Amino acid sequence: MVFATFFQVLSENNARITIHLKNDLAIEGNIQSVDEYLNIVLSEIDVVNNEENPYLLSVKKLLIRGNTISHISMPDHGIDTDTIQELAMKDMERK
Amino acid sequence: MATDFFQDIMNDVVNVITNDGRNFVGTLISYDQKMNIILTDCNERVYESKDVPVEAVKMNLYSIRGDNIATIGKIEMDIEEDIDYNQVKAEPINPTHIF
Repeated sequence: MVFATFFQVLSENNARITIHLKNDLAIEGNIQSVDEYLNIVLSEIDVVNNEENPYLLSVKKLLIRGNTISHISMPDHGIDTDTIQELAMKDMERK
Repeated sequence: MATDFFQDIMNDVVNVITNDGRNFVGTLISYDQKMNIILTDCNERVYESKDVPVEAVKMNLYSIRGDNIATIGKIEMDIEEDIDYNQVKAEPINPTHIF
């Protein structure tokens, strides 16, 4: 659950992340919520390269199913990595 | 949790992209914990190429199995009404690669 915890912290900070899907779409948005399957809800989404990929023109709020996520990029500033590390360590200790 | 999101978009018009690269738009009337969904007044948006405008194919009542869903988005009707879909042209969406 370390990764779910990690993204939960990001969602509390309303961080803006870019999710790259296995179908080659990349979607940027504010992370709203995450669950144990890493299904992620984004708000205020923008599809990267919108002109080529006009599939979500009228969508602002999007649920991305965890199993279609390839990788996720995020800015490394403004993210409190100490808290994330602490939470992750606690999670490890519990097991 | 995903269930909060579904409660939020219940009875709204949603845009669903499936793992085989298809795009459906319809009103969400039902879902379950496996993310199986039922859409009414469903249309498939067929993207053929960059030279052909997107085409809507009527599907009526449509059910999509949860594990075939890639994304579900809520359509904002005020934005939707301003879009001229005769001008929207794109290559088909790639299928989700499963390795």
